[in-house]
Amino acid sequence: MRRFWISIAIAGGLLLAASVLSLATGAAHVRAGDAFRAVIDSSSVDPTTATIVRSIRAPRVVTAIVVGWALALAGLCFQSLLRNPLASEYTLGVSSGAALGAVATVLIGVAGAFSIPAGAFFGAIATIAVVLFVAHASFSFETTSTILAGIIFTSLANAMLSLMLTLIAPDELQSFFFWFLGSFASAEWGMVGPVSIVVALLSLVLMGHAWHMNAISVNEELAEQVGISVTRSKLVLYGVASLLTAVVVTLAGTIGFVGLVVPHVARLAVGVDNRKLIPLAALSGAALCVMSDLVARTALAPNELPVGVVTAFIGVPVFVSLMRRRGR
Amino acid sequence: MPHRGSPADFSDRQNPCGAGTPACAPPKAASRIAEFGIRNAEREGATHREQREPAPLRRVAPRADRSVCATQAASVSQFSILNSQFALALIVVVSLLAPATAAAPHRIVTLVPSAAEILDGLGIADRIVGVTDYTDFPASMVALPHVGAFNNLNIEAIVALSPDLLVATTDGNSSATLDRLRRLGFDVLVLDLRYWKTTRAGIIALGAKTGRDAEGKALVAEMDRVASCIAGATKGAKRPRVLYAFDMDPVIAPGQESFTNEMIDMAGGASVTKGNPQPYPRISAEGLIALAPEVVVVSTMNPSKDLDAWKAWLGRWPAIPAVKSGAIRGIDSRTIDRPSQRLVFGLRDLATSLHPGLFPAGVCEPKWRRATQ
Repeated sequence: MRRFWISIAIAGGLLLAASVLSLATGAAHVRAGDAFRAVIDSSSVDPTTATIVRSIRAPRVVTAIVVGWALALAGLCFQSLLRNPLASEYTLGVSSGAALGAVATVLIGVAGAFSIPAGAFFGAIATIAVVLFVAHASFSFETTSTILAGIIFTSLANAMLSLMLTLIAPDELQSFFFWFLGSFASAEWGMVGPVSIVVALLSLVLMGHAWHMNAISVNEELAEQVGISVTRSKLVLYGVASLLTAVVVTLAGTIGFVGLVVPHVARLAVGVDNRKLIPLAALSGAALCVMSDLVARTALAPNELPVGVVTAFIGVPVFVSLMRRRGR
Repeated sequence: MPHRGSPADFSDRQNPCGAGTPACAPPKAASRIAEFGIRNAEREGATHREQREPAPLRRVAPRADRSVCATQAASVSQFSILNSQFALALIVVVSLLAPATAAAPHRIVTLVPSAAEILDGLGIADRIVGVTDYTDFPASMVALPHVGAFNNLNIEAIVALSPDLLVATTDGNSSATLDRLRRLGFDVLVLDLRYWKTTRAGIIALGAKTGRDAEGKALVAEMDRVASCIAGATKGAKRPRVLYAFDMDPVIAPGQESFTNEMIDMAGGASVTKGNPQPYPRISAEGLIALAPEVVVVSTMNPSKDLDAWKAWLGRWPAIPAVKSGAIRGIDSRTIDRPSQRLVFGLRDLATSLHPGLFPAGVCEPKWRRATQ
C-alpha cells in the first residue's frame, strides 16, 4: 500500500508541476508571476495576459488532463477485458474510426463546430461495435481475435482516410493532421467543460467495477463463480472504455501511445489490482499529456508539433527504462 | 492642491471615461490619464457584452465608447479651463485620442503571406505587427514576430501582439481557428482570394477596412489595365495547350476552375488540367503524354536551377509536344501562386511564356517596379 501512495504522489506531483509550468510558458512571453496572478484574479494583470493565461493556456492544460486521464483509463479497461497487453483504443481501431467519422463529416460538407465532434463520436462508437461484432461472429469474442479484428479495421479505416486525403484540397490537410496525430490547440472551456463531467462520471463507474475487472482479467469462469455477472460487467466496461475514447477524440483528435503504455507503466509500479491501477493510470496519463503538450507547443514555437509525436518520444524511453529495471 | 491624476482616481470605474478627465493635470500626467481612460472604458464596455471568454481583450470595446469619452473629455476640459496650461493639456489629450478614435486599424496581424503583400500595396505595411511563416514580401516582414504557419496558427502568439485587425483568407486559414479568434474578441477580416475577380474585391475590401479606399481602387485599376492589355494582345492568337505544374515527380497541376487555370485563360492559354475534378490532381507520366501539352510552365521559387532538372525529367518523354519543341518554361511562383495585386507580374510572365513573340519589353508591363510593389 505504501508503494501505491508513493506512486500516486509521484504521478500527482508530475502532473501538478507540468500544469504549473504549462500555465507559465508558451509562445507569448508572460512572466510566471503574472501568469499565476491571472489565474487567481484576471483584473490584476493586463487584459492580453489574462486572455492568454485564462482563455488559451488554462483550457488547454485542462483538456490535456482530461484527455490523458480518459485515454489511460480506456486503455487499462481494454487491456483488462481482453487480457492482452496489446489492447488499447488505438489497436482496437476506435481512434481510427473516430478520425474517419470526423473526416467524413468534413468531406460530406456538414462540417461545423458540433457536427465534427459528433462525427468523431459516432465513428468511435460504430467502430467498437463493428469490431466486437466481427470478433464475436467469426471467432470467439475473445482476446486475440478481437485485437485482430481491431487491427484489420484500423487498416481499413486508414486506407479510407488516405483515399479521402487524395480527394481534398491541400489546405485542409492540417485538419487531417489533427485527427491523425492529435492536438490540444483548439482547446476551449465550452468543449472541455461538459466532456470533463462525462469523463468524471465514467471514471466513477469504472472505479465501481474495479473488482469485476480484476476477476475478469484473471478468468471469466472464476468471475462467474464468485458471483459476478460477467456478461453484464463486460458490456458496461466496453461501453465505458468506448465512450471515454469517443468523447476525448472529439477534444483532441487521436493521440496514440497513452492508452497503450500508461497502464503498463502503472502496472509495473503497483501490480495488477485495478483498484490501485485506475487512479494511478488516470493521473499518469494526465501528466504524460500535459508534459507532451508543453513540449509540443514550445519546442518550435510559434509553430506546434502534433502532440502524438511527443507522447511517443516521451513515453517510449520511460517505458523501456521501466521494463529494463523490472527485468533486472 | 490635490493632484487629480492620483492612483485613487484611476480606480474609479463608475465613470466610463475613467478617472480625472484631465482638466488641470500637467501634460504628461494628462496623457497617462487619457490612456488609462480609454482602457477603463474598454473594460467597462467589454463587461456588458456576452463574452464566453473570461478576460475580454483590450480591443473589444466598441469604438463608440471611445468617441463618447473623447467628447466628454473635451467638454469637461472646456468648463474648467483656467489658464493656458489647460489648453495645452487639452491639445495633448485630443491628439492622443485622435488615433484611437479613428476607424482605421493600426496593429494588423496577417494570417497569410498575400495579405501582407496587399497591405504593402496599400502603403501601410508599417501597420503590420505580426506575420505567418513564409511571409517574405515586402522584405521588412521577415523581421516581424511570427504567429505560426497560415494553416497552423498559434493563437497565443496572435493574442500577445494585441492586434486590432487580423487579415485571413477563406481557403488558407482554418475556419475553426478564425471562429475561435472572433470569440476572443478580435476583428477578423476574411478575404476570398481564390480567383482573380475575388482578389480584386478582396483588395478593395481591405482598402476600405484600413481607410485606404483610394489606394485599393488604384491597385485594382492597374490590375485591370494589365489584364485588358494582355487580353487585347493575345486576342486572335492561337491558344496553346498548357500544363502548369506546381511540383514534379509526381506532377501536381491545378484542377477544377482554379485560379491558376483562370490566369492561364487570361494569359491566352488553355490549361490541359482545367475541369479536372480534383483541386490539385497528380498527373502520371502516361497522363502527361495523353494530355499532350504544347507548353509546360513550371512554377518555382528558383527558376534557373529547377528548370534544368525539369527539362531533364520531362526529356524522357519526347512524345509530349512541349518536350519535342523545348517549350518548358519557368515562372517565379512568388508572383503567381500568391494572390495579391502582384499577380499582374505573374500574369505578364505567364503571357510571355505562352506567347513569347507577343510581349516584347514594354508591352503590357505593370507600372510598378517588381522589387518594391
